Amino acid sequence: MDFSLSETQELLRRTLREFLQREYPSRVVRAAEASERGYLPEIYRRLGELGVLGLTVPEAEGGAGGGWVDLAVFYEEAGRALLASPHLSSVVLGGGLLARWADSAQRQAWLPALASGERVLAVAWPLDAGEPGPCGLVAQPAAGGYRLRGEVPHVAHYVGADAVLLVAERADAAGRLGLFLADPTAPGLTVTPQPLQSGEPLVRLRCDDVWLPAEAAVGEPQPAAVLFGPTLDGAKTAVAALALGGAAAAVDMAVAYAKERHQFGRPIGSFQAIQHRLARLAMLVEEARLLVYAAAWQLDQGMEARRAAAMAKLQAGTAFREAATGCILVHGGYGFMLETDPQLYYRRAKVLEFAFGPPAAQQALIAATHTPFIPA
Amino acid sequence: MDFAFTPEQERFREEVRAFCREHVDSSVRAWLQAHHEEHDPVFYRKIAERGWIGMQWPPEYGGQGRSHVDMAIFYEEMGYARAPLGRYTGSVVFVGESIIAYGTPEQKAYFLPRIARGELTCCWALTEPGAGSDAAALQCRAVEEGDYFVVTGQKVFTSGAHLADVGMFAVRTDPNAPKYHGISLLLIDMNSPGITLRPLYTLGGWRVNEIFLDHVRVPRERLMGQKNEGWRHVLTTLGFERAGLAPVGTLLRTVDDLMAYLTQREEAGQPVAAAWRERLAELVTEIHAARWMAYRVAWLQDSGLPDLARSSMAKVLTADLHYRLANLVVDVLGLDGLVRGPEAPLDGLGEQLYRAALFHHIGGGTMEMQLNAIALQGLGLPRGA
Repeated sequence: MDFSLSETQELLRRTLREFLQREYPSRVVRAAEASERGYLPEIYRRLGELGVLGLTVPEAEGGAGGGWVDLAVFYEEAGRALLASPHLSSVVLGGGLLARWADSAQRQAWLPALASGERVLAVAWPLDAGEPGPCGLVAQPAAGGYRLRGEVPHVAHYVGADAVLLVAERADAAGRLGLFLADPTAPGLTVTPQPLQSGEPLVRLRCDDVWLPAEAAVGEPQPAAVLFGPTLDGAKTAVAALALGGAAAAVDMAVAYAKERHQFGRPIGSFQAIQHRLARLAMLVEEARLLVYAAAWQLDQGMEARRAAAMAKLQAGTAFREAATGCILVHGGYGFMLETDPQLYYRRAKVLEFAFGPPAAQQALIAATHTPFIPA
Repeated sequence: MDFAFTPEQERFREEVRAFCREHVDSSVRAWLQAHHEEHDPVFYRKIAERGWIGMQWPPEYGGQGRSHVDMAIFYEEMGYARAPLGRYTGSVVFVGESIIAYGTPEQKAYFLPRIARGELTCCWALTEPGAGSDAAALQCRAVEEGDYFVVTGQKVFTSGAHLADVGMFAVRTDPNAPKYHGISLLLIDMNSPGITLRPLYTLGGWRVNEIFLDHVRVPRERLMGQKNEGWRHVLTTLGFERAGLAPVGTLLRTVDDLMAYLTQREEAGQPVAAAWRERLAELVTEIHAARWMAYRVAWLQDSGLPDLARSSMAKVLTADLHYRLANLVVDVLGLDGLVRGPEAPLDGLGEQLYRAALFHHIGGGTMEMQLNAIALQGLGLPRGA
């Protein structure tokens, strides 16, 4: 039993904290939000230069060959800074699926570039879907390749992506899903913007008889659970770590404000009404932290982590929403103003509760996978 | 980062689990409830025979030199079995650990092996009618007369005083010193002339005590730690009390009982509303967080980094969960959940949990005091006026 990070992980945390504090203050958070892609490619490339984008990418493909705990450290820090990046789509989900199924040419073509941040991959997958299964596209064999049709809502990081990984039911293989790499500007692919209140430029993606050559297919058709393997649990854990970081930062901000803001001649942090609110938020953050790292650790051990990832996501989502809410309330009127920072957390918190499956889906999964503490 | 237990820890868990399977059944709970007790002397002797009382103490004091993580495993398994540990906690966690921390060599040599063998049990008497959360307002007076302290005063809500051989009492030895100075700790034989007890029955069903002390003579060598500077020691003991043993095992057990009940009901053709499972899933998630929190507190102690704020967090969280889970059990069972006697579903678990739930909100320091500790020590917020 060891609840501490390794020296390398501590170093990673410090490096990211310093980089993001310097390069990504809330002014930049706002700039990213106002930008076309919803993130700043320049910052993303610099994170690539720091070597953090490829933490979970195999070493042979230009990554660090690290694990999910390493990724959780990165995401917790990213969450603290409210970093907008396409990493979750591009590397965790897209890169994760490519690493599982792509042939060596596809791997070499994509994984090193994804790990360095030079290229970005979108995935035609609804941001709010967390369980393996079809997501709206069907692929039909056609002359020299495949023809795809259908529609996927809530696709993230599509704008500006170098390619899109399409997840489609295979009409020629009943009950199986296939992956296809496509050019986002391919004829027949159209998008309708679904911009979120948090600034993420989601889109609804339509495929109208999009023809793709045979070599666009990635791997053989697979049953959904096999296709995704632990990828979605990893993505959930990453989202949970992101929410954890956001929650921790919101609590820190509220605590700092409570120490400096004076009313009735005293810092408001000396009032128990404020103290107890903040103490309870700090508890929620600790709960989330333990569940996030427990899930990441389980993934690293190659253990079944569906339930652990669902718990991490459920609790971290709650922690972020509550912490962001508390942060606004402790700031009072200033907290409700657009020009102060608490609202930045509040708007993102609710989005993360939905990312890779809403709370109700996590609850249902947790209830359905219950096993007694002492097996009968 | 490593969330796994070592093979030795897993073996120890199995040992405790097998012991509970053999020695704890529903008749133990029934006996305790009928007798308003949280202590079963027969069971206690059996734990002592295994060497588990004071297991974390060095062998020269009768312990096994085990870690706090081992202790947490023991508590989790015992809690899951719903085994009675009332006297265990009083004797080992409150008094025994305090003797280790600031007892004299003679006190260690005398008391610890006897506690470990299960021959001697202890209680911790701090709270007074006028000194609850403000424990340092205590008035119980000890006057020095030759080789004795003569103690007069009153304590209240003392768990296990009617069963304990020795009580660790916080008393005022210097009434003229400022409030936080002038307090001392004395180990007092509970059969001393001048001590009378009055039973108080809790909402949860078990007995606690009011203690009246009238010119009780206590030999000087029963002074623990530094005279008049006992408040420091009290804080240390309260730290043990908090760090010890967030009762997560019983929560895990109740969840399993409730899940099994829901499944049975479904199999009997009575559909279970999805909302129950969702509420349960939410609680299960937090119970898992509480479980890791308890193990982290233990791990921090083993690493020499005791953390009071985090101990308080574990305590507040488990207290919340006890209350929320008790209510869920009763909500699921409906009014039947409040029925007593042979008609009661789940052996009356619903009404028992509901009545007992708030103990954890109060015992060992109220929720508000714990939240104060988290805010002041954990978050560094300024003290109020």
